[in-house]
Amino acid sequence: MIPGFARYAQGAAALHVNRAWCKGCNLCIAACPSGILALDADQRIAVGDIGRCIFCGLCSVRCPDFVFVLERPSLGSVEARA
Amino acid sequence: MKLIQGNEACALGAMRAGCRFFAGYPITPATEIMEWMARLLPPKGGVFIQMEDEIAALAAVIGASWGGAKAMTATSGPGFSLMQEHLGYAAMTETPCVVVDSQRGGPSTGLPTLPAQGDVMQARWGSHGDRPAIVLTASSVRDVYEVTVAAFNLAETYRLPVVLLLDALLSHMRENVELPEVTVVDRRKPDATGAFQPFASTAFQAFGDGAPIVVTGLAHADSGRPRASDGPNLERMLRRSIDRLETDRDAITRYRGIGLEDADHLILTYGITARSAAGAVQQLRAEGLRVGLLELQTLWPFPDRLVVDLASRVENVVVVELNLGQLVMAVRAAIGGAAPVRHLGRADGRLFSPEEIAAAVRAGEVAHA
Amino acid sequence: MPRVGQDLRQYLQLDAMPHVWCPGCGHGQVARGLATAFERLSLPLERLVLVGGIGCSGRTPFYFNANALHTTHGRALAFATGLKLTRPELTVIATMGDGDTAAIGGNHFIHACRRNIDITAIVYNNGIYGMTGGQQAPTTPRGARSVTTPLGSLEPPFDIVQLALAAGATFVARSTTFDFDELPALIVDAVRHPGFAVVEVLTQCPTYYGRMNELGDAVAMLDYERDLTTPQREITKEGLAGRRPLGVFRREIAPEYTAQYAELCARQAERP
Repeated sequence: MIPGFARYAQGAAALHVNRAWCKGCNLCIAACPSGILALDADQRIAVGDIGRCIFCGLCSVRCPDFVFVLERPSLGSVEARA
Repeated sequence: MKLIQGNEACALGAMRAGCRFFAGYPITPATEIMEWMARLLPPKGGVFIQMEDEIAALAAVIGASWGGAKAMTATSGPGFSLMQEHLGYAAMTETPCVVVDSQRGGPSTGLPTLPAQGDVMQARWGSHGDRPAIVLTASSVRDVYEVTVAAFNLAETYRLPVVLLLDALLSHMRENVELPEVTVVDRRKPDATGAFQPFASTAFQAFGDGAPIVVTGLAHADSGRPRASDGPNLERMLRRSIDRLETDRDAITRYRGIGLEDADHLILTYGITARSAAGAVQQLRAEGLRVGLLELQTLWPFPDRLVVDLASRVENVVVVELNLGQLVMAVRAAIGGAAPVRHLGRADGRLFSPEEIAAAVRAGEVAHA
Repeated sequence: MPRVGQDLRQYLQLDAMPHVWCPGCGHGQVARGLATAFERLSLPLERLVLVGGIGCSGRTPFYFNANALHTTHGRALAFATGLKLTRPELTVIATMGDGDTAAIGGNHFIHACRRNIDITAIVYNNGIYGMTGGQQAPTTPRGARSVTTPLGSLEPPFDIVQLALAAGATFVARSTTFDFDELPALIVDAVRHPGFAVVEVLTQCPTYYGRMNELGDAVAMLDYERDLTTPQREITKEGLAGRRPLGVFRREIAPEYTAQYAELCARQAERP
């Protein structure tokens, strides 16, 4: 666990999300190819079905607020998947 | 003995004090300080750079000081005006550095080659907000050397920008000088124990010499991190810096006295003007008038106690300065009604003659009698 | 090899987060680009000094675990020059806004370019003054609205890249916050470059520039950035068609100031 981050696991991989740093800008939501991200009633990030996450990391590179950290034990890079 | 110029003495004093960084921008009548530093620094491994303007010059000096170097710039009135924001920045960030201002007739471009003492208030109050300030001056080439060393020592001791006020005449004057022995104060390093709080004391850690540090012109905590909305914290830190000078005011006060012991009349002056005033004292004493001269080398913090003590023992005080009334305000505020204060000032780029000063003292004596 | 989603917390001053920037502000994306670059460069943070100007971009140093020198408006490079000359072994990176760089600090910028001192300037260009509430910048496009140009700006804007090239910077590049992979790569190249390096980053200000010019939210503004620019490799025979080119515009090795100064001192010391 990362202090302050919630962990959403899919097998050995996980998406860590720091909701407290989120400002609700929608950049990650627009970037997510799986459409699993949304804003909650507080206008902060909420993770839907983590089972559909492909761990592309676009949420993290688009986020201006360092909200996302990916844990991908088996994957080296985006290129490795391509 | 060596024949040297006032500006050269300033550069030699800076080198003796351990100055290893100079940034400047050419301006009459201060330029020779820069020219000397350009020659003196490289053989010592020190840095000299001519910047694009005076704003950049003081910025570079502050950057160099945070790199660990004793650092200085030199300018004159117009450049000194441009430096005011960074004087405040240096005060806010408790950055040791020395700013030399060789005063010329102002305002604006004014009288570029003629002496003046019109920057006394700007040196104290020119930057916005309150701040601690040490402002020194000198009246001979030998003094310029000694006071330049003192300026560095005070900057390093109290971690603040120290202003040294020269003038066009003193800068360009040549005198035969035996350079005196001086004591040099170095920057106080943090104690090895415990986590270092860069703004908790006058101990100083440069960038790259330990854990990362934060320096900002915003109001900040002792840790250096910004506290931009915390007014009480800012006032606490300002008062602490100002109180350091209050506590040590007597040690910071440099002055020279002539005939103060038995004086009935006091001439209070500073800088180049003190030379004519000494002549006036001679003339008046020859006439049988008991006149004393107080030449201040420390203008700010203003030496209230010293001035009040002397003023309370004389019949009148004449303040002589090359402006239309600046330090006289501090004198009047300090001594209240203890003695009548007359002001002898001018802003025409000329010095007072001893005769003119003597006449002012005689007039004061007549008015009082 | 580029990685996305990596844990960059070790570079951040966690106590200072969340940062001051508005929702969707591109400055956070530039900060992420910097953190990613620091990881690739394996920079020891105690040897790194981030020098900030004043404005939104100037706050960047506060969010990193490196040394921070938060200076005055427009003068970051002048402070950085004094520091770098005194401590050439430190890595010095200035984070500056477009107003910092091209308006109040224009003089310092061109002279730093001219001197070729080993400092990296990251110029955050959002075409507007954000911290003070959306006034015209020297980079505001002609016709664009701001609170001080409510009827549209009459002034032609500065092109930061052309300015840097003309003034003699030896590494000059442009990227955008849309280009999340190129941005850190260019920062890495700029920091490694032994001379004065400028990276202009086009960054979105949805709060002022976007709202006043009806460009939509941060998501729409990233698309706008994409459509406004063209990577140099994609420039066709037809030319730029009004787009701004991206990438590296100059990468030249020229005598670096602190190295030259050290040589000058060594020569002086040899003399009797």
